[in-house]
Amino acid sequence: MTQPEVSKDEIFKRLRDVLVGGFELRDEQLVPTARLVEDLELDSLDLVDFAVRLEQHVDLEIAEEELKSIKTVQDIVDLLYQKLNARS
Amino acid sequence: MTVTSQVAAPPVAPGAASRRVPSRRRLAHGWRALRTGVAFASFGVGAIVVAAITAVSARGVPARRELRTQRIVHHAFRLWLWWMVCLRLCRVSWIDGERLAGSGPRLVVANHPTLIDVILLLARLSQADCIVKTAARRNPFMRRIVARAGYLANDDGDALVESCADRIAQGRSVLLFPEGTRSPRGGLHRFQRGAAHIALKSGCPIVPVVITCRPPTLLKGQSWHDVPDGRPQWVLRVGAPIDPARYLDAGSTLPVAARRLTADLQALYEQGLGADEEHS
Repeated sequence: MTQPEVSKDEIFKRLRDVLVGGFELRDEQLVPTARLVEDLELDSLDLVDFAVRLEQHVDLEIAEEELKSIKTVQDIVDLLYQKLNARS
Repeated sequence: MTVTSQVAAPPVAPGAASRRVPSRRRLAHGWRALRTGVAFASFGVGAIVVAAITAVSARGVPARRELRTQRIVHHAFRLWLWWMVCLRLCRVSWIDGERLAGSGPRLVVANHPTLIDVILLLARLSQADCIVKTAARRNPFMRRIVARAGYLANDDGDALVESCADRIAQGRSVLLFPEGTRSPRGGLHRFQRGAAHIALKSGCPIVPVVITCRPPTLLKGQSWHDVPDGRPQWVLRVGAPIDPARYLDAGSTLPVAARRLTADLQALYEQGLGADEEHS
């Protein structure tokens, strides 16, 4: 039995929980085009921590290369959408 | 005498007095630039001598060798600063400098207005692991000393935090500049969060040092011979230690604690520099 497809909206909500709860970011900062480093001010240490939290939150493993390719919030949503639905 | 010379002086053409002042100023400026050149040349010679001394003393287990080299660097910098004072190129004042006395690991954090800030701090601290830019690690005068002293490379943020926390766990002090580069004239760059992460990971208190220099000199992008008219005065004010544990309250994640601690540090330095501005 296959799991129902997870929508991008649902992924965005989960992502927002991680970023607001874990990094004290405000809701209005979290737009799809927001850049992680320049706009959300996540530094290299934050990005590592973010990957760990995200993995725990969505029960997925994110490779270092995948993490490096992520620039915006939308990039993460797309990556998680692809990985979560490939698993189902 | 003075009156006589004034009487005997030939008639002065209009504007000559005002022309004489800048020329005297130019002469004083040139003399100061020359002395600065001598100071920098002696720094280069000193680096060669220190490299030779540390080569001879570089024996034993790495940790002891590093500490020995750091002590030699400390004495060499003290000597060089004494020479700078003799050349009337700087004055240095410490406020609450005793907060850096004694042993025990501490994380010393400073703003970085001038080229010689690290020298002032290492001349005060007999042991400190500092973080060195790639350029200094490649500098032919410095690279061997840097390697023997075990100074840390600023290449990788995550690995650097681990290395610094590891040094602190060994009872060693770490010195860093959270702006990552020299400060802009009269202000601060946005602080990076490395210092906060190191403090939170190691539990080591941060000892803040606010550095000011008036008149400003040896700023980023300023050449060594671009000297000010007066003798610069460096003031290093050591603040009360900041305990990182109070940022790790229940419900606060490590990234949030690092952001809050960094924001408070930045505010403390802005306040310190602002207070200095008001008193000047």
